[in-house]
Amino acid sequence: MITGERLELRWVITGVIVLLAAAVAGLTIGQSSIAAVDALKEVADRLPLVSVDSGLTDIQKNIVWEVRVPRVLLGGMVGASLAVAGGGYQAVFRNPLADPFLLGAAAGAGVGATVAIAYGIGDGVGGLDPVPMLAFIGAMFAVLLSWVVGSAAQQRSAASLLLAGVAVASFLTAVQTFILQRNAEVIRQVYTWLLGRLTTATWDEVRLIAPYFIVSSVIVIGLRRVLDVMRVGDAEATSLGIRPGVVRGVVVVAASLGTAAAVAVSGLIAFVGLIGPHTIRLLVGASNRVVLPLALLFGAAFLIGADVVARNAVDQGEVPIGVITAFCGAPFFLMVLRTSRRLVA
Amino acid sequence: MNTTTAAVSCADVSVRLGGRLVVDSLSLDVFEGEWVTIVGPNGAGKTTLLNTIAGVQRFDGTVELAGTEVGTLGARARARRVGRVPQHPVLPGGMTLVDYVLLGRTPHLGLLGTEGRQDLDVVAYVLDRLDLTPLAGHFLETLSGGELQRCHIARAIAQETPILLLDEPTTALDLGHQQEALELVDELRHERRLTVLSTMHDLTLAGQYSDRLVLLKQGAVVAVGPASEVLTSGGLSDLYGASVRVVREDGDIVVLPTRSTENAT
Repeated sequence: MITGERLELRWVITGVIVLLAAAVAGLTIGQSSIAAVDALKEVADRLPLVSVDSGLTDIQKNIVWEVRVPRVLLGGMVGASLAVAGGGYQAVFRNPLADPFLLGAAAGAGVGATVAIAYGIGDGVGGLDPVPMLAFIGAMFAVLLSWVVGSAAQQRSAASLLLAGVAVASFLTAVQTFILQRNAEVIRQVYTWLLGRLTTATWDEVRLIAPYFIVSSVIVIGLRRVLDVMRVGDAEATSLGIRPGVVRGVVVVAASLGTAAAVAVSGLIAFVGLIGPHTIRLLVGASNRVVLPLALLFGAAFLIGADVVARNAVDQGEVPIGVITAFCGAPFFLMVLRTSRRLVA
Repeated sequence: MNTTTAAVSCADVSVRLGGRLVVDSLSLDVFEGEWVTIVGPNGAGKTTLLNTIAGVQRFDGTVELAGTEVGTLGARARARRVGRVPQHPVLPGGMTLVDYVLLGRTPHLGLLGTEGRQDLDVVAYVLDRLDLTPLAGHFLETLSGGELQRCHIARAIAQETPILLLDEPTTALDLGHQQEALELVDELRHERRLTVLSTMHDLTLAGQYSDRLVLLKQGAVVAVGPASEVLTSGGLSDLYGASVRVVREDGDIVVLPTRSTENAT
């Protein structure tokens, strides 16, 4: 019997185990002295149909439920969104250097956040924090602008879209630099935001990102087989009955929604979206049926793990999580790149 | 052979690429079960004509597939009628042969669907038929030119379309593999009653395997008919600006390039 390259159960199980391990680490390791077992008991107690007494004080309970749990959930969703979006972008652009910020999402979010911080725009609308809101709007605006400009080009192709993204990103970065230069007092604050962090994680952020994360992951992962067809190029995909332009549009919008939501709550966390999917390609296989679902699991696990390190690496304060993802992820990726016998697809 | 149904019908088809008229008011009927090969010098519009029939090229005029205008068909419906082996297929890195051939099942699947038992059976049969089963798990980049060519044909066959378009199926192959690939297509054509439309540079091979040849020059048809009528030394010399001799050998038409004695020093 013949079968193609499919997602093997052992890899799914491995991914789930690694994700659970990262989540447990995220819930139990911290600077408040709460016993690991008690922290887990407290989380279990909150689950439906489960009742265990963790023996924690109310303050400790609050730390577990209002600080650590949302932070783990947020880290997981941000990591998964970025990794899936990166995998999706790489697939539709057939470009190994594609990442979720390719069409200007990062620059757009940067401008949005900078405007919110520099001009101290009130309490936002409906009491929501204006920084994530404007960052989200900025990111989507940038992607749509790139899309409109890139698709209007005479030679409508993946390359023209990509170049439009580069131009839009440069333009928005210039706008951001200009605003910063005029408002030098907020540079530090904006810089901190840009480096990425989960320090402000609350249930509000979890609720903000969850729907975008779910919609974008379901769409991108749902199209995994079609994205494999796209690997033979637009012309051949067309003669196989696919409409590459439409697929590209759907994936770009879906992936950008996930990216914009992730950027809005966590700032710019580099590396996960670019290198995450490649690591899976090198270790497991190049089919999007393998890459995309595993990017979700391992992307989530990686960011939760990176956040644990970010919180505990130094005595005072935190290391920006974007620093940790690159600092830990780059050497690991280089090792994989050197040892894998598979092609960089 | 049933020559009453036109599987492919082009009427007054013109294609402009970058302002240049590449296909010029061309009309051509290809009948069901027939193998027609388009020949002509480089730039005559052979590939563009195939792309037009495949529905991946904008054009003026009418192209009908078994009576249905190609433009009215959706992408999927079109891909169920016409399979195409391009001249230079893209080879995705890190993809196994079986996954590549499975891509041919795309028009038979829903957008979010995955291959079922039946699709795997079709592919298993095609791989077996093309002697590719032992290579099923190999990565494309490890295959030889002959194996790859069979692999591209396999994907088009797995698509199970009544019409097969082959753009230069033999260019990259040595003599033995050229014959092997063409024999294979011919066998499949008879087994499945396929209509085959191909382009070829080797006029002798084209004449041996095709029912009819279409001579194309600057996007227009110069001559249509069986090799014995179309391949004449005078006509070919005009068409290609080359010096050739046409020889009849055991019923085959053999086209020999010649070199006039005053040039050969």
